[in-house]
Amino acid sequence: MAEKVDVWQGTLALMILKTLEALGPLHGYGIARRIEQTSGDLLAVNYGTLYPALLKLEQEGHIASEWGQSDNNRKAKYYKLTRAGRKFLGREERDWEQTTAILSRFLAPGKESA
Amino acid sequence: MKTLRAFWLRLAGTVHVEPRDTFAEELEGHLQMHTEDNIRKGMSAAEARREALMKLGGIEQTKELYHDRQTLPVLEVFMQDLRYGLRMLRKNPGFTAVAVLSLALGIGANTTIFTVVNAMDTVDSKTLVTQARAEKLGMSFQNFQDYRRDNTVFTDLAAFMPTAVTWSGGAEPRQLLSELVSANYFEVLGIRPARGRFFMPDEDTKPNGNDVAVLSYALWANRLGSDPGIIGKPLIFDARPYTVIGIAPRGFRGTITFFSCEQVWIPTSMKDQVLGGKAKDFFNDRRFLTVGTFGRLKPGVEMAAAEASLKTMATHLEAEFPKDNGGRSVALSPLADAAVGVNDHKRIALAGAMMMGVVGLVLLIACVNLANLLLAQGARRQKEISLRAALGAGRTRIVRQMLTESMLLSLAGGAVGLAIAYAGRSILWSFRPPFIEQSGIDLSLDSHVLLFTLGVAILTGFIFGLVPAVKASRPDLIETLNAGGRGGTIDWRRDPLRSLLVIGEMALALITLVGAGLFLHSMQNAQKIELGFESKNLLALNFDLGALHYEEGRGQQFYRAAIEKVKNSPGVASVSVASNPPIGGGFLRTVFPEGRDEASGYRGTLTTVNDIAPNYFETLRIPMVRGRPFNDGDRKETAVVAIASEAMVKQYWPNEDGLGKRFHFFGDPMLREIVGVAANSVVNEVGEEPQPIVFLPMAQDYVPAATLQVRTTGTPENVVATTRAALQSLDPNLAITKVFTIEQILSQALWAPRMGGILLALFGALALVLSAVGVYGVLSYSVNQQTREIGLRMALGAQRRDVMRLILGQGLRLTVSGLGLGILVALGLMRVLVSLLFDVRAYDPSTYTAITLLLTAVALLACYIPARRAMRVDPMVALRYD
Repeated sequence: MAEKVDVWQGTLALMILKTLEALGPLHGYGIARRIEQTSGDLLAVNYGTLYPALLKLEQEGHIASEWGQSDNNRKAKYYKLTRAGRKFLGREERDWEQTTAILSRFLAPGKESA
Repeated sequence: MKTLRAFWLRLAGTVHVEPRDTFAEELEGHLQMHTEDNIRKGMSAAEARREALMKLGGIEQTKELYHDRQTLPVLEVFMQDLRYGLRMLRKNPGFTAVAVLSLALGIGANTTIFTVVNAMDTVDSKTLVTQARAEKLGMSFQNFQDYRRDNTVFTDLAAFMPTAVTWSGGAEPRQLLSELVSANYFEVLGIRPARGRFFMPDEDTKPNGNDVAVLSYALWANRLGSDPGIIGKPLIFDARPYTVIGIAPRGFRGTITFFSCEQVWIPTSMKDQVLGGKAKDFFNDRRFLTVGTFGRLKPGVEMAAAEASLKTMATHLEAEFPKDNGGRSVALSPLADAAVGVNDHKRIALAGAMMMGVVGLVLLIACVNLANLLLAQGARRQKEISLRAALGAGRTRIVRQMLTESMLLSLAGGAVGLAIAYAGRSILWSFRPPFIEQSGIDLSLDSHVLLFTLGVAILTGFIFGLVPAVKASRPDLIETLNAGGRGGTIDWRRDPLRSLLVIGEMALALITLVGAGLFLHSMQNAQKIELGFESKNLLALNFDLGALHYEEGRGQQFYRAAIEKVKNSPGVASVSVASNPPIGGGFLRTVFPEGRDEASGYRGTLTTVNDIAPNYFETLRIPMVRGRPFNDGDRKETAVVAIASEAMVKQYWPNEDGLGKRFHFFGDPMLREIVGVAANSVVNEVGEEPQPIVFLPMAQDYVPAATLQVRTTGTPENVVATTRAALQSLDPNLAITKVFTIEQILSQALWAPRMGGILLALFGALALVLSAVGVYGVLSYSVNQQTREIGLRMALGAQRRDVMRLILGQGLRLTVSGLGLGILVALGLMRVLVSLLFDVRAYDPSTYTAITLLLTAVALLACYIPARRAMRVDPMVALRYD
């Protein structure tokens, strides 16, 4: 079994938003699967934690939800990115890239000092 | 913004919880999709479902997480506590009623007194304004001008002089309080006009065109109907038109009165028009102490440093004008202290503090009652609490629950207390004497009062709920559950906390009552003080001939005619005229006994001067101790004579009888000979030390403003109309500025102490009742707890008498300990307080004895009822009780 890391809240929100941006409207189960796949099974979602995170994003107005039909004709709640959510995602992405860029410079100090 | 939006949604979620079904449905969809996927991967149906559930992390757990996010958990717990608390309080209506009522009385009393204190304390005591004063009375206008010009510590220095003007042209002539002020007066105080403007900087110096006046808000509102068009219009003061330039802000009381009232401010440049008699002659005299002054300290200048700097100036002024300024210096004090006159402010502050102290103690007793009730309640609910603890409720959760209940009680108490205060305020207000009626004093329950009440309620609920809550949250689980929830026979001696509360309560009640008792005693003593004259059936009418511009000859003639005319009216026993109204203060001059004068370095002493017509002593019934009273033979052209009060003789010629002694006033070398000595009489206020007074014949020392004093045979009110008509028949333009009986003056002077006395008695009674309720509550709780023990004793042969003795003994032991403690504390406390009271010793044995007996009796009664119940315990029933 691959070593799996718990997904922490902030990153989870970012992943949800990114998933919705890439795939368009999607139900909770779909989002969970997608995140698990993209992270190469390294991040095993405790699927339950996804729903409070979705609720929080909805309360904050980043995503909206409505009931619809799934592929195999099952009733499911679909989430989609709102305009505010899109803007928020853009901002978060830039922040995240900046943070990782800085961190990577710290984590590979050899190049810097050479 | 986002967070706020989320917060509101969650708040809405808490209040109105969405059905969880939608989420359940969503979750179910999720699980089914997952299961189907798993089956497609080749798992069995059961295995597929199980794997999906495992990945999810449990349906209930997820729902719980979701719910927490949907709502505000903290708030939700609070709402639960609240609902539960309300249910508990509803279930025990007796307990709730006693607790709420007890607190409501305590908080109500506090709020009522706070309302009064709050209304009194509107002087902006934080302004950096201080008053420079010399010899308590003020300083001369000349010195003021020097200080103002040369000082380095004030941004500016202002002066004021209280006087009075007659306003005619209204419905009837009225006398108004007025202040002659320097033009910078309002600017230094830092206040803005409600309407119009205040004085221009040169309006107290330029040669003419200064006949302008600022009106107080009360005058404008009460007498001029708040007419905004009054600005720029003339009003007639002392028969002279003044242009109204501005209205002072509402509630501004000037620098001399305690109450805001109908008054006017006029620039000092108008002194010749406003002042009469000697004040006018002496206004520019460097020795004559005319004006009060105050200044605003420059930023960064401390009061002590400023005082030192001014004292140096005073030394220079003394050296420069040794005759006038000999021995004089200055001192600084905050304006708030000086505003009322230093003594008055202290006394009012003392009365306020005293009242707050007493009601504070009453509240404390009420709080102890609350704590007691909560303790008993906690003990009764041990089973419930143990159950909750056994079911896993944390201690904080239980404490929070209990605190919610005590806060509910105290807030309810606060709300009812506010209603009590509202009623109390109305009652207090309906007893107000006329002089407060005109004052515009505002006894409203404003935001300060509401905040105060809320604060008190929250604090009492929290502080006095905490200990019982913590104690209740720590039940001995096993023991309580085993004892079947009856708490077993909790022994009195094993319950020190509750005993301590009773002891404390008795001690507090004793301190409150002793304080109230001593205060009442002091007031009684103050009322017994001799006035020195007969106050009954005495009428006084003030009028001012100066306002009519009479010269002396005409004035003297008017006085003689007035006395003659009124003397013959029906119902009049005798009549006189004097410059000073009874208990109305008077003009002060420096007296130099013969043989000592300014040149010899003797400083003289300020002495009250009263210019009187013949018959004065007879009319006021002031006995002559020696010599003779004045008579019609004392005239301008005859020997210059005077009569001294006993206190004056004692002051200047101790150990002599004073007759034949001569003296002169400062600035007036004429020697006056004492031909009579009169008994002491009150000058300024009831209860003062005997003041030196010198009486001069009006015929030899004319003053244009005077008081006609009429001794009537029946009630003085019946004579008012005829006397008034008699005076006005002599000159129809005469303004009778004030008509009053001395009884009125006395009841005014004694109103505040009397009101205070009634309130104190009321609060004392409240303390008594509350503490009795407390003792009763604890004892009956204890009897309840001991039912089994009592039953056992009786079954073993104890008599009812023994049971009675047992219970009374328990109550009395606590009562006596409480009273003993109370006496000790009271003795210490009252020693400090008594120095501020009038003629009472800290350990006035009668007060202590009476109150100790009273409290013992009340405590006995409070113990007797539960003891009787204990006595009636049927051993069989008690033992089978479980």
